[in-house]
Amino acid sequence: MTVSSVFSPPGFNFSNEVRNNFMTEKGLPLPKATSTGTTIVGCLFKDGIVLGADTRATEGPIIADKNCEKIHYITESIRCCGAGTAADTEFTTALISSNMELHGLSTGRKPRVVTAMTMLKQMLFRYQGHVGAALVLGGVDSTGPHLFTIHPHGSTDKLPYVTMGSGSLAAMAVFESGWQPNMEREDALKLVKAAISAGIFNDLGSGSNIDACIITEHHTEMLRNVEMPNERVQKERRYGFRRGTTAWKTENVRNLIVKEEMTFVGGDAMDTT
Amino acid sequence: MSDRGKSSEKGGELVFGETIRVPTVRRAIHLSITRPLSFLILRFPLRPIYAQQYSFDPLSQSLFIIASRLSSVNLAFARSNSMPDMVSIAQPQQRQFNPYSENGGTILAIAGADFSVIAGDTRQSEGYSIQTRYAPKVFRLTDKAVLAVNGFAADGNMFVKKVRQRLEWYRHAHAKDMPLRAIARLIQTMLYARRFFPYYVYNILGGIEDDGTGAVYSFDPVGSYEREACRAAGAAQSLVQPFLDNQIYFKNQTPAPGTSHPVHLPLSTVLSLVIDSFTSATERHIEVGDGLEMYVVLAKGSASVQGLGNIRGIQELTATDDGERVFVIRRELKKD
Amino acid sequence: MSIMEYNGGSVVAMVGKDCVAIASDLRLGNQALGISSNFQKIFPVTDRIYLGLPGLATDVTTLRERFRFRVNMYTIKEEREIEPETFAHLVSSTLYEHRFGPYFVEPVMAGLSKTPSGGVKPFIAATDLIGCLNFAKDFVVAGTASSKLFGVAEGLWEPDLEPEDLFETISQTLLNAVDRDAFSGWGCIVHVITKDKVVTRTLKGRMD
Repeated sequence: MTVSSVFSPPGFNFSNEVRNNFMTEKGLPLPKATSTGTTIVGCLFKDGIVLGADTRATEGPIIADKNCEKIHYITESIRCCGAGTAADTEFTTALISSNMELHGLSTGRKPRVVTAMTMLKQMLFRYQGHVGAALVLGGVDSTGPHLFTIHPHGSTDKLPYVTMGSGSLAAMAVFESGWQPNMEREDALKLVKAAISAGIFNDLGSGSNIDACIITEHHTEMLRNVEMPNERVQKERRYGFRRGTTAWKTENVRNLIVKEEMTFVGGDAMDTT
Repeated sequence: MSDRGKSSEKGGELVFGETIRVPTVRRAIHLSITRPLSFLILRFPLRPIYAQQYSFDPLSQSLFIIASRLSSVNLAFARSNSMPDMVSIAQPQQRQFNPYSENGGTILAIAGADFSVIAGDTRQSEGYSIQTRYAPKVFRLTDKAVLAVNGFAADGNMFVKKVRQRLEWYRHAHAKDMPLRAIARLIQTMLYARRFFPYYVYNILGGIEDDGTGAVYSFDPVGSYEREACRAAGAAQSLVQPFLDNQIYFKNQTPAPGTSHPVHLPLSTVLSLVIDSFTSATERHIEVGDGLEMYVVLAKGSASVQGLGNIRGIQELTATDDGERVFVIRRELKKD
Repeated sequence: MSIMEYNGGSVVAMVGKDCVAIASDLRLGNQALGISSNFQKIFPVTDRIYLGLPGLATDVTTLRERFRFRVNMYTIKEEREIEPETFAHLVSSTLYEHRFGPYFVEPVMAGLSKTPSGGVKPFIAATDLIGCLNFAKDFVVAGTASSKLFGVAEGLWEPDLEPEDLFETISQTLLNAVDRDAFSGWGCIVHVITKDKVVTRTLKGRMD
């Protein structure tokens, strides 16, 4: 008994399934998880890959997080942007990142982008779209730069410029008009910023700041909040309250400082010499 | 909301946009009848006036009320000669036209002692798309009345047009502008006239009463209304209204010993609170943003006019001399 | 009416200057019917970490015990108290484990983490019901009054509030938000966590 309560098998736990189905049948619909209406993009340039993302996370029409990180670490030279169910993108990329590290350790080689892509698509296909992660995977390995999109059901595309999320059409419009083969690093970054901006300003599911990540053969540069075009302006008034504004009934103070007092017994201090 | 949906299925109140379901148990029987007809389409014609139609089901002897004015229900059976004979997948197909949509945005109005502020953002959206960054939701009706309309934009614009028409008729008949309380009652009757095919709009009317006090009237889509000191409506109503409760009504605040809370706030404070309400709503609601329009209505001879002189970009819209005065102040909001 | 609204309840947490505050209502309901006005949703995890669990009451109780168990196991194995960041990830992974049969709670955490220099750093976080973490620098909200809390907090919150001022701001935010929510209210409780003490107060407010 003690053993079974401590032991937790790997993988998902379905123990609440029966109860939750019962409640659904009783007419209480299941709530939706935080979904990221998102703009994520990636594009190929002369020396590697540039990835981009906005930073808004939504719960229906409400903005739950104004500055979240959507470019996830896979390995030092592979990164993955996530759209869709926020928790799924977070945990799927973390799991594959972990497996890629182990894979690198066991083979003694730098793991390749296709390896990450295959791991991700096999996992997503296994869950038949129930793991709602839509990903843009990019990186550079021994075979050169690679850029993929991975859909929630496990299908993949390999293209020189890709977009995903609710702002994908706005961003793709920018890529279609601006992308060229063998672009310079700065031009590619500028194009990615323009694509994300198009999503931020024209898609309600995307917003706040721009994150970008430039991956080349020997160096990966994570540009967190590379542009912040949506800072809140100063408020017109200050909203501090006079102390004592809120009426309260009871108060309890939990002191975290343990007071210590030394009392010497016998008049003289103990001789410690 | 879900309760309303349920009652309609039980043959109670009619709800627009509700799918009228054919109970699954009767599918097989339907098919056996329709089979020799190879394909069958039942279409109810569009009627010029609102009416309820009853489609009679000879098998279950039950009546289904179908909203017909705009939503003509087709019961088309997806079986035709060109398709292979797969009876098992043939199911009744239903089509429905939904006459309403929701265009986001938020409006808000606050009444002062001798002024009113009526404000709204200017973004119009549908789903995740912005239709326009400048679609006014606040309209000057007369020199003493301003109407803010939120909800379904097409209904809102048409409603304002019809209210203005009635106010013009009133002016021609009586040679004066309609009093605010009368406009409020007019809006109620106009809304309730469409009780069973409502204008899908939330109205807030602000302005100056005949006695010179600032007033705000808020309405529901079918005409229930009430005079208040402040009201928010629309997409971010739930974000803004509790903030206003706290800052306008001083809810949950105990005044400093020996003092009391003011009954009316000065115009400058009200304008600051309106701006902060909208910037806060813009931060946390995706459908609020782009621009802000604040209408200020001042009572005749109001001293608040002094404070308006130095406001950036203020514009006067007053039409007549020697009466109430209307101003509009425009501000930018975040565009993401 | 979804499962999240079945019992009602809301929690908010805010950052101040070298302090954090976490507050909740005290209502337990059965849909629109009020059952209790003393249902605690905020629990101490360590001396300096508090966890708020708004949502389905049965899961509030279950998860409280589950987290108590897992934090105790951590403390025994590591021979040290858990840090707020670590605890946030523990909460997150516990909820994601139940991705396809979730617990109906949206946890909110508030605590003070230790800095290498021996000081303390305010920490707040929230997750959705399947464990997507949200680390905010200002405030986090959850529960049936979340949209109201977002609106008021966005208006009232200011950076670098002293503990006593933070108490006023978080209390006013919560009281005014729950007064506009049918499923939250019936009393409020506020905890203000500072380096050397935790002040807990129950608020006077509307009981309808």
